[in-house]
Amino acid sequence: MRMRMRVRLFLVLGGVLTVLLTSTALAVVTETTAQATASTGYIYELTTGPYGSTYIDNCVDSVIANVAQNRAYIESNTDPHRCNTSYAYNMPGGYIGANADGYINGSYCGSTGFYYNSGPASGFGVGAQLCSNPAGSQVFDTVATGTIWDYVYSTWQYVYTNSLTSPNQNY
Amino acid sequence: MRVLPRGVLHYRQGTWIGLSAFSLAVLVGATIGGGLFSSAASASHRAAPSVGRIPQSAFQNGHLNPSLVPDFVPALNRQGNVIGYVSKSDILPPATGPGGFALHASPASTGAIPVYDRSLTHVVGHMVPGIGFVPVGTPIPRGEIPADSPTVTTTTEVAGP
Repeated sequence: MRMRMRVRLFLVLGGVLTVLLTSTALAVVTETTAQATASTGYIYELTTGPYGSTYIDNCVDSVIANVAQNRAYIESNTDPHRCNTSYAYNMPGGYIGANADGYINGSYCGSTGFYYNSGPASGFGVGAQLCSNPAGSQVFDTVATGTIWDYVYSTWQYVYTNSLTSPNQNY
Repeated sequence: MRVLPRGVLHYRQGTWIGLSAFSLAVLVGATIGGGLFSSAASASHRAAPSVGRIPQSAFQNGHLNPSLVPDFVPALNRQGNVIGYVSKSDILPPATGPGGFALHASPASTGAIPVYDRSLTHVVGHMVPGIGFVPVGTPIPRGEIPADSPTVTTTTEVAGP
């Protein structure tokens, strides 16, 4: 009787242990093969204008998206609301632009080039897969730069925002 | 007191003067030569650029840290092969002007970046925005940014709240 109880207990404990080990292994596999998007979120970079009497706060978002997509976004809101999109301001066509540079394992893959909003918009983005994605785990980074048509030094011209690096992402 | 013949005195004085002049010449020569050598050595030290991948630590905190970027960084083609090296100054974000602004005059001002071979002096092609590596001998597309016909699949989108 005692022997049977011990065998049952052993089997139950063994089963529980098997379930735990299997679920742990699955969790590890899921984590290592997960393909996610990493982003800085919109970060305030530059105030431009005035456009009429309105000054604009411009924010940039640097993204490495699933899979290995280098993306750059720019967003314009009325000053002094920084990156609060509740105060989004439609910039006329050609007023805001963005460029994304791509890196893999610290090597340079190229850039999208600057593209500009074609019509009134408060935000604009550009993206491309600039690096190849060979087998194995690679580290990808995006460097995003925005540009805005601005009245500076007594003339209208484009100004750059600071460039923003995305969090790195492995694929 | 012993009086030396005139000729002897002249001879000794001449020797002394000659030796002094010689020593002075050696000293000056050594100083100038040493200076030149150390200048050449430091110049050659300055002239040796660093080459390599950008360490991940350079990408931290939202901005590319220029001090951690090597002078030349490997450039890859679309297949992921190293086709040469691009200069740090060409890939770093635009420098900010005196008013805190980095300026450019027109939408097409972001040009092609030269790609150098292992010697870091010989241009083997260009990294063209929206296109990628274009070898020397292949014409770079006019305007450099063919915004309406990128060969790399580039997407743009109106982003809003």
